[in-house]
Amino acid sequence: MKKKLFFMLTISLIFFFTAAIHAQPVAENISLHGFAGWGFGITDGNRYAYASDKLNYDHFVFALNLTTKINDRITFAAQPIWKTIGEGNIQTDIDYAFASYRFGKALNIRIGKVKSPIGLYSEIYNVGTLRPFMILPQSMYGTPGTVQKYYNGIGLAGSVFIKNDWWIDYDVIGGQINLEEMGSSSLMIAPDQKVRPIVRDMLALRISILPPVSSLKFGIVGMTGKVEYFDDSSEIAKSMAYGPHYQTAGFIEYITYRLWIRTEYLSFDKWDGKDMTLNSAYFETAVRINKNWQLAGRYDWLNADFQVQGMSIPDDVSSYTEHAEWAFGLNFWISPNFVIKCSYHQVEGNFFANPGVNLLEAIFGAEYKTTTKVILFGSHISF
Amino acid sequence: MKKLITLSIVIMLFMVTDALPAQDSFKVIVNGSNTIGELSKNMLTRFFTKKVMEWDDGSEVLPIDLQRDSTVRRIFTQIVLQKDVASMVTYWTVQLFSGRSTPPVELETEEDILKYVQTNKGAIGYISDVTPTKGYYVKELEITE
Repeated sequence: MKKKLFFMLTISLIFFFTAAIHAQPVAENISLHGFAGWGFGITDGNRYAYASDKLNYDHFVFALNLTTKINDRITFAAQPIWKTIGEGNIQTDIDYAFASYRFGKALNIRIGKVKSPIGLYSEIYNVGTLRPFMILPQSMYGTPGTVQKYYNGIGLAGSVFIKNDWWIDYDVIGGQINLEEMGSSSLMIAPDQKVRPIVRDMLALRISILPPVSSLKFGIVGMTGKVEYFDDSSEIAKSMAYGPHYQTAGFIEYITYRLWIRTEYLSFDKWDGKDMTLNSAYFETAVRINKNWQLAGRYDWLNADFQVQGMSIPDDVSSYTEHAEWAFGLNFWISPNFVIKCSYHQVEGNFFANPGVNLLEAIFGAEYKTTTKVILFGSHISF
Repeated sequence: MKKLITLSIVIMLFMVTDALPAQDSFKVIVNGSNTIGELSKNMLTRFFTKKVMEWDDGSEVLPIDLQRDSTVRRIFTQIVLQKDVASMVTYWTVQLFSGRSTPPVELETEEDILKYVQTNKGAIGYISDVTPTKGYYVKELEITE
């Protein structure tokens, strides 16, 4: 306990002292940045994101971002991250570590454990100062989900300039995505299961179109890959999705200082036959009232259709395949890099809101709540 | 339906007022050895967002910014990049944490900009249009639409 407290105090001191520092290189060819977040939440029963019916102050994340310019064409970037998982456990991980080589004027190749460009938020997954709520839209970025923050492999990224001030950004990536472990999901068929999916032989393309209207971009994403599992995953849960799948998505983003608008749609399906189909979408906006205050709103939706060992989910537990959420937030920006957030969320469905009753128990008549009311509070900083 | 129209108008107003231009009062400078004589605003945007990172001769483009609270930076950002400084800070935060790019180096004063541009072949910066450049090995560029 003392060790954990000391760790958290040290990290807190680091980020409070660095809050006033603007982004600057620490040496001519090395730049060091970082971000952190802390929060707590409470619900009226179900567990949702990092909140439950008991106040838990353990939600914490801290990361350092190191970029080294080896020469004018080669850079190396890495981001170690420390975050709480479960109650009181701190996990250390490498968010990404990759080398980038620049060809010509506007084309880069990146190799290693690279940030995934599949979703608007996937490259900035834990950076709280770039989003209006404490948590990301769960329909696309919650667990389980195929929009993850990194992939292991190789990627090409570049820009193509077209007429009249329009341009196109593109990303082509290939490799493997290790999805988040689904241990806390209400989709668990039975308790104490371990489900660790992988998307192997992944190939994805993202095209972003940037019109002359400053700050606006929109685009499409396509991804394909084989869903498999690590050996220690539960056999029952494996039957929900296996083999070649594809994913299509579209997005619109308009970001200025005063107004943030983001919306994304995603569809996940199987190439041959059917085991799991997911459709999800969200719309969120945030408006700056003045230098400090910001109002935020979001609607988040997901619908899943899946089978477990060949059997469809009964209609009377259909809430386990659904998610619909309204969220409203009020943020106070102490500086452009430091924000305090408070939000209210009303969630219908149990795809992400875990009632503590697994799917099998629900099918056999256990009672559970399908509506979840959530209040989240916390702070994010980046430097 | 009425509510939707009202909401759309409010959002459009925010989008329009965000792009309001300011007065022209800066000049763009490059190293004295740079063969280029003029640049379009479009190309400047590509350089200062690091969408294009090479000059025609293959050397690296090194864009330099003034501090965030600088009036010249605010005007340059509004006129050339068509954004406010805070929006560019957000842009660079995304670029940085996504591992795609790092923001231009920020220098304290216009004198620092002049010295940096003078000593770095690929450098490009901006200073107030009343700041003299005499005595520095830099070249003023003509900005075209």
